[in-house]
Amino acid sequence: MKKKADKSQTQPILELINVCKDYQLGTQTIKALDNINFSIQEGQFTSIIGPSGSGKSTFLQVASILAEPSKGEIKLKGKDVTQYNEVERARLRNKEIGFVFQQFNLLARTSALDNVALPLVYAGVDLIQRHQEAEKILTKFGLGDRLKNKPNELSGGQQQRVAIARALINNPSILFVDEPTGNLDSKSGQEVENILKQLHQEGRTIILVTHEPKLAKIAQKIISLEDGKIIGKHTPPYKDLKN
Amino acid sequence: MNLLDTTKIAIKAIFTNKVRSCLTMLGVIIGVSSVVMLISLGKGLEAFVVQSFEDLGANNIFISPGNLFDEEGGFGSMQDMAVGAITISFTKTDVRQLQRLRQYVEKVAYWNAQGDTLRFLSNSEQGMVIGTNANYNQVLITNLEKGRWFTHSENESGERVVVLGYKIAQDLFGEVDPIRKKIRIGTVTFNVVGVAEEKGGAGFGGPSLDDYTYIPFETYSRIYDTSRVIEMGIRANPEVEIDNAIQAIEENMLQRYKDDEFSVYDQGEILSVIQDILGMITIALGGIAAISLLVGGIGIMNIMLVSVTERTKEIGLRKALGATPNQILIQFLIEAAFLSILGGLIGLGIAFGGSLAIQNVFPAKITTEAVLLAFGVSTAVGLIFGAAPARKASRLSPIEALRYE
Repeated sequence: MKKKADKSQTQPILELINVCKDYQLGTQTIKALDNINFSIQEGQFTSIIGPSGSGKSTFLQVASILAEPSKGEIKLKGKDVTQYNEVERARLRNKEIGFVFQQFNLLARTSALDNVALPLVYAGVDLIQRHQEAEKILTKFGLGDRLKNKPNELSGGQQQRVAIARALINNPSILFVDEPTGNLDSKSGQEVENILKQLHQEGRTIILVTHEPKLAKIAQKIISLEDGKIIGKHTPPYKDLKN
Repeated sequence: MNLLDTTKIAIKAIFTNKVRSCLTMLGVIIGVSSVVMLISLGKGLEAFVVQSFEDLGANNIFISPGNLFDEEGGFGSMQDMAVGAITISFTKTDVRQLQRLRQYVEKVAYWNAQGDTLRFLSNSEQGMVIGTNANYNQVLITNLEKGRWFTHSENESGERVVVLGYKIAQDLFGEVDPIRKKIRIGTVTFNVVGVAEEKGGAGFGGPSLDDYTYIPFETYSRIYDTSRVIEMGIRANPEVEIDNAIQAIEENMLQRYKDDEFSVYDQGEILSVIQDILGMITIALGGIAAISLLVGGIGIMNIMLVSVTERTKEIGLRKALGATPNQILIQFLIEAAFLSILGGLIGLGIAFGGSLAIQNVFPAKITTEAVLLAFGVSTAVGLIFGAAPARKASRLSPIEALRYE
């Protein structure tokens, strides 16, 4: 499972080069991302912060290959994936990207075990192996006794842990985390924070999108966005950032 | 991801919304069951008619007045017959002439008929009195339940003997054995010599064969003061081709009648016309029922569209996690097809049950073709009407779908 960062490696695992993303709103063109240059090395943990409407979500969508950029280039493990078609992008997301959403996005009426195993369904893994792997990872997140529980039988914190387990089951190269504590109480939020720290220590590459500077600070690097542009890059101890 | 996994996902989705799935299937259930039931009724009726004709005896040739078949092969002057426009009738000369064609003709039966009142003690019933000869029961296979048929000599000497149809015998005599009892037909007293076996069914719109009463032709001629023969039935020599026999009979008749004054035909001709008519009726009935199948298909499309909208977020999630558009398309197609096929199977079950239930009243015959047709059509309905919603689902953008509230 663990991916140890190779410090000697210089090639970024993900690279956005001059990326723009425009939206058409009636007759108006909205520049959601404006000439973004970004890279992250394997094993790094970077937070993206910015107020609402700053382009954080669009950044996450484009960087995670959910959305295509209007302009620019995206390289994953050195490979230009900008021109990939929809099927290739789906396969790439399945193999290389893990998602943790603010609203968990678990399938209702589906057990924790099957929710976690879902990415393996699309990876073509057989049922027995899917369940074995899902059980292993759920146990790791302290949910070994909740395998058969449906999302509505779990607390918010537990649901988010199921969602994190699902994001990790395919052993992705990069984990995209979108406002993971937004729907949680402070105790559960703290739990999730600790999990993210632990995953980073294990060598995971993480991109965290949040509007909370306090949460963002658990990363090694913070990038501030405003009006679709990168307006600042911050490093610990983040004295230049307000909480 | 294999097809089995997709199928499981689809089936799970169906069982998640049980009530809705049942209501969706209802259209297909009604459609399939009515298509199969109506086709089976049509087919059963056809089989019944064919059987009834075969029971009348093979190798039979009939000679009727008027031009019975039109050029298209339908019943030409049925309407004329109904309104009594045909005034031509035959005579015993014709019978004798035809009997001479020994190479082709084995036996000739001839008859006239009239409705009359039959009485036994205080019971009275209306029946159809057939005046015929001793060959009748051998040409138009009429087996006897009791007693015997009248003989040639009884016919020639005009004896007052009668063979009763099964039902009229029951109605007149009840539990009493009718043989050697005396009944009155009109005002004339007859001696019952036989009772025919139950034939069931009816002539086309005419009285039931079981209400027929048979008396010797000569006796009939005296009572009703007529020597007219309204129809003749011929048992052809089994060693000659029936078409050759028909040709010989036609040539013989043409010596005395004009071409359009009589019709010579065998059972096959009548049967094929009736089968054509019943075939058309079956198609029409099936077609009407198919409309409900179409409505069922629209129901499936409607619910699938609702389902896609409701599950937009789920679709987005699946796509984000690596589902390709085709996998989503197939998932929703399988869901629609499964609903439709399941509905089709339940509909088939109902049709089977329904056919069994009415078996005693109406002959219904479920054919493999009807089953395959219903099954094929219900699958096609699912796939066709599921295609649009499935396509919609597969084309959803994962981001839009994930953002959907």
